[in-house]
Amino acid sequence: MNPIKKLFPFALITCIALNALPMGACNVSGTENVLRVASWDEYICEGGEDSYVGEDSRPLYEEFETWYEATYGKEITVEYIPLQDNETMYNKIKMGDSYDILCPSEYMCMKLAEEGYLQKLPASFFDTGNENNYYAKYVSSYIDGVFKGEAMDLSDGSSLSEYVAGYMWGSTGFVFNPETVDREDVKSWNVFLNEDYSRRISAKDNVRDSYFVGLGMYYEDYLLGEKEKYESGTLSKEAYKHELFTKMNDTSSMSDVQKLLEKMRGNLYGLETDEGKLDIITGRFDISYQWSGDAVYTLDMGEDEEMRDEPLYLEYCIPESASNLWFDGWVLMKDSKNVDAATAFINFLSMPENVVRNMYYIGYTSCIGGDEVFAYLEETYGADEEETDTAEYDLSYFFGEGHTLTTYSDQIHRQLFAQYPDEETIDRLVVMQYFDKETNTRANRMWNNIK
Amino acid sequence: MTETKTKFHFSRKLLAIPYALFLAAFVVIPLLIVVYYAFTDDAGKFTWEYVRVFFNESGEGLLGFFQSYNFKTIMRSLFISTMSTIICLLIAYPVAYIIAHCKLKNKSTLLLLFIVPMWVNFVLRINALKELFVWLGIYNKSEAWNIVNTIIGMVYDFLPFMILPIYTTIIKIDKSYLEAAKDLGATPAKAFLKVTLPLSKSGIVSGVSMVFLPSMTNYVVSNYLTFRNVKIIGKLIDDYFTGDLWHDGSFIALILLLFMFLVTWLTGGFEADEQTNARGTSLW
Repeated sequence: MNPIKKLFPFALITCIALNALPMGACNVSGTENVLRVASWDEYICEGGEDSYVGEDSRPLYEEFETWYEATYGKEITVEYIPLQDNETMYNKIKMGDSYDILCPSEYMCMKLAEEGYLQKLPASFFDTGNENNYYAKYVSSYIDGVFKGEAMDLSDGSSLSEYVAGYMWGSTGFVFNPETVDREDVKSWNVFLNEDYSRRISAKDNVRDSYFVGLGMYYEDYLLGEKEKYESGTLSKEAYKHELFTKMNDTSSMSDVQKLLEKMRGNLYGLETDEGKLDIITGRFDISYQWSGDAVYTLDMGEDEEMRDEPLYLEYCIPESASNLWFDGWVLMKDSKNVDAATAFINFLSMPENVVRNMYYIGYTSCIGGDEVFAYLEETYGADEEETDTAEYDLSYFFGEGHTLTTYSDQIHRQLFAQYPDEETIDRLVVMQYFDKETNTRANRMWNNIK
Repeated sequence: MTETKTKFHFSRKLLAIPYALFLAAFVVIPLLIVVYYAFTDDAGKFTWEYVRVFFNESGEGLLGFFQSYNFKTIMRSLFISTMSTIICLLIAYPVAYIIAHCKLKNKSTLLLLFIVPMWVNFVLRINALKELFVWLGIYNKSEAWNIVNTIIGMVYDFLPFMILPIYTTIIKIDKSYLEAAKDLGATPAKAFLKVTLPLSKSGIVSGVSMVFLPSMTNYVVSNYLTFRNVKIIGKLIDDYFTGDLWHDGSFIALILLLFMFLVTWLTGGFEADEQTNARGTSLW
């Protein structure tokens, strides 16, 4: 279960070396019955014994070939190409590699759309009248709402939602050990500066996550004030969300953020991209800043008997003032000749039974709602009938009215919360915009001079 | 008649062609690209910006550079690679000397003992070392320990590269030189200092450059062994590259190149030593 969005600098160097050469191979998606899919490693159900449906199952991209032929009567071969990270994907595309469909993270979707590498999804894709349009039929209204928000506006006046179909989504927050850490402390971004946790906390070794953390610390008091106003009714929801969005995407206060990050750096155990998950379980530190999907994985591992003699029940917490909403989405490349097959591929992956398979296999949270997905959650997190220590967890914001899950009460701070934060928390999540060239240069120089 | 003219004459020079092509594709062209990137902006126009940014990051001019983060990273890298090289040399020379002079019939078996660890994947070895540090309680304990751990990791990783060239030069030293020194009344210590050491100089030089330069850039070691708390120049370059700042990264790569030339020049790597060449000892 390899995490995505990871920076594997070592692999990148190899790619750089290969791509820097002008004679670097150009893969062109010329053939009409080959669908080139660029995504991440282990980011789709590969079938076999680790899958939800048993060891005889095939990878979903292979099953798609059969389904496509049965449904549309056309043959297609899928080439599933796992890449290391968004930056590798970007560099490959820039160097002339061509795919039909990609699965970049939100900021890379924006960047690729702004730079003209993508084409809009056809209008027919969003037609809920067509029975095969599983994405349009089942995408969660919450995700749909996020996509229609101001965070998705592109500079030419269009919206990213015209380009992207959501795949997996989540938040960022703190994985922590409740035995040694007070939950109240990790509700604040300033836990990074808290000397009680000196050298007991890890952060991410990448510029975007770090800058977001810096903004979180810088605007914490202000945003908590806005939250109070919103809760007391003096600030409308729209105005509050707008305030969250602009403050957590502010690039003009970089020098102030830098000072906070410098201070934070001295207080850290260290920076990581991948190691943090294991090291918090072995107890090397007590708090780790993580993406929600990795958080679920970490929490699962802590309970794993093979990992520890005594299970460690870690928890996940999202800061009170604001946090990050990230997603990975499917986008079509401009020169794709297989638009029909590509959109069918998205729809195939959005069929609720396939969503369940992917969620089970990857461990991340799908953008797709639907009763089958909710049933899967009940199966995973639902409390037994005789269990007394239970809690009602309202998920109607995601699955529609009346979807409340009876779960074990500890799940409110654990995997279920990491996969689907409660509605109140959801309100405070902000999509982080991509850095334009100038901001990217400033931010990288700033961050590289700290770590 | 035409047949004899076009007949293919195989000469030893032709054997150099594959290597020349390799050199051009993987050394010369990439180097030129690095130089190009270091001094041009996105539009391909010549610029001093990256030089300025590198030396004037704090905005306080050249004097500020000596307190800057970049300067500290370079100094830290230099310290780590110098220490690693010295320690490697101190360990490798006696080892190479003993193996070369031991009475065993099959010396290569002994030598193999030092090379076999290289067969294990290097990331795996470094991870194992990390666990050892954890067990000893010195993993990410303090800044000083992190530097020490990095040096240990570099020495562990690059030691064979120091042993091998020194061993090959010592084994090729004509024994009669030592016998002559003895006959002329030199003590063993004096014979070593006046005969063996000078004659193995070329091995030391190639060993030093094979340890010194990689240990400035091998940030896998420093990343794994210090939880990314020790940053060396290789990591600095990588950070700029991953951040899509190819020009900044390229300029720092040029600085690194400068060190490479400096080291090669200081150790006399540019001098053609005919005697050793004839013996084939500068192979390494």
